[in-house]
Amino acid sequence: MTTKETDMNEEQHWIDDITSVSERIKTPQIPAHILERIQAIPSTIKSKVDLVPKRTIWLVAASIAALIAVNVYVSSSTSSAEDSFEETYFSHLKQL
Amino acid sequence: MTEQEFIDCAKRDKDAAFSYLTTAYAQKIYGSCIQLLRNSEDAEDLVQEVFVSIYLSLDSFGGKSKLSTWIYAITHNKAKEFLRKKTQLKRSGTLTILDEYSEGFSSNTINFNHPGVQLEDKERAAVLFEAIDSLAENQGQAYRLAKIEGYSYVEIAEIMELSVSSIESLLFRANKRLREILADFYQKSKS
Repeated sequence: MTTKETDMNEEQHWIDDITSVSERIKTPQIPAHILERIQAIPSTIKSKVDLVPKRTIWLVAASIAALIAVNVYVSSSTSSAEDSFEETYFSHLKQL
Repeated sequence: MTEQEFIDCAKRDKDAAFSYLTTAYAQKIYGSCIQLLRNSEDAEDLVQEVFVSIYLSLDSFGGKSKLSTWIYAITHNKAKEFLRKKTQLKRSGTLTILDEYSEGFSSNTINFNHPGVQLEDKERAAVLFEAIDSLAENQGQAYRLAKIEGYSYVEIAEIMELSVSSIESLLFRANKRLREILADFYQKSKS
C-alpha cells in the first residue's frame, strides 16, 4: 500500500469517525423544572385571564358607552342651540 | 393517540390534549430548540414560549399537516422570532453578550455544548457541527433533522415542503458535501 493510499484511508477513517457522532447523539433531557412550568401553562394562562373579573370588564364597557352617549347628546344639543341663536339673530337683522 | 383522536380530544378537552402534547413532544421540542439556538438556557426559555403558543393555537390545528410537522413549524418560527429579538437587543446595545448570534440559526458552534453529546464525543461533535454549519442552508436543515433530531423522511418532506424523493437527494448531496468539508478540515489540520 502506498503512502498516498494510507493517507486516504486515514482521512476516510477520520471522516467516518466524525460523522458517526450523529448516531450517538441522544435527545437531551428536558430539565424537570421546565417540564413542570410547561405542564402548568394552561392554569397560568387561565389565572391571567381571570385576573380581571368579567363583571368589572362589562361595568367599564358600560361606563364608556354611557360617557360617549352623554357626549354625543350634549354636543348635538349645543349645536342645535347655536343654530337657533343664529336663526334668531339673523331674523332680527332682517327685520331691521 | 392518532391524529384524529388528538383533534377530537382537543375539541372536547383542550387541557387534556395539551397534557398529551407535553408528554409526547416536550423532549423532542427541547432538542429542536437546542439545535436551533445552540444554547441550553435560551432553549429552556424558547421551549416554554413554544408551548404557550401551542396551547393558544390548539384550536386552529385541523389536521391538515402531521402534528409533529405543525409543532416543528411553530418551534422554527418561534426560534426565528427569538433570535430576531436578541439581535435587535444586541444592536440597540441593551444586550452585549450576544456576540455569538448572527442573523440566522448558524454559528454558535465553538462554545456550544450539546447536552445530548457524550463526553468522549465532545470534540468530534464540535467538528461535526462546524461542518454542518458550512453546508448550504437547506442541506444543513435536512441533515440536522434527519441525523441529529431523528425525523423521518416523510416528516422532513412536510417540514421543508418538498417531496420525499427531493429530501432523499438533498440528503445524499448533504452527505457528500459534508464529507468534502470534513476532508478539507482534515487536510488543514494536517498541514
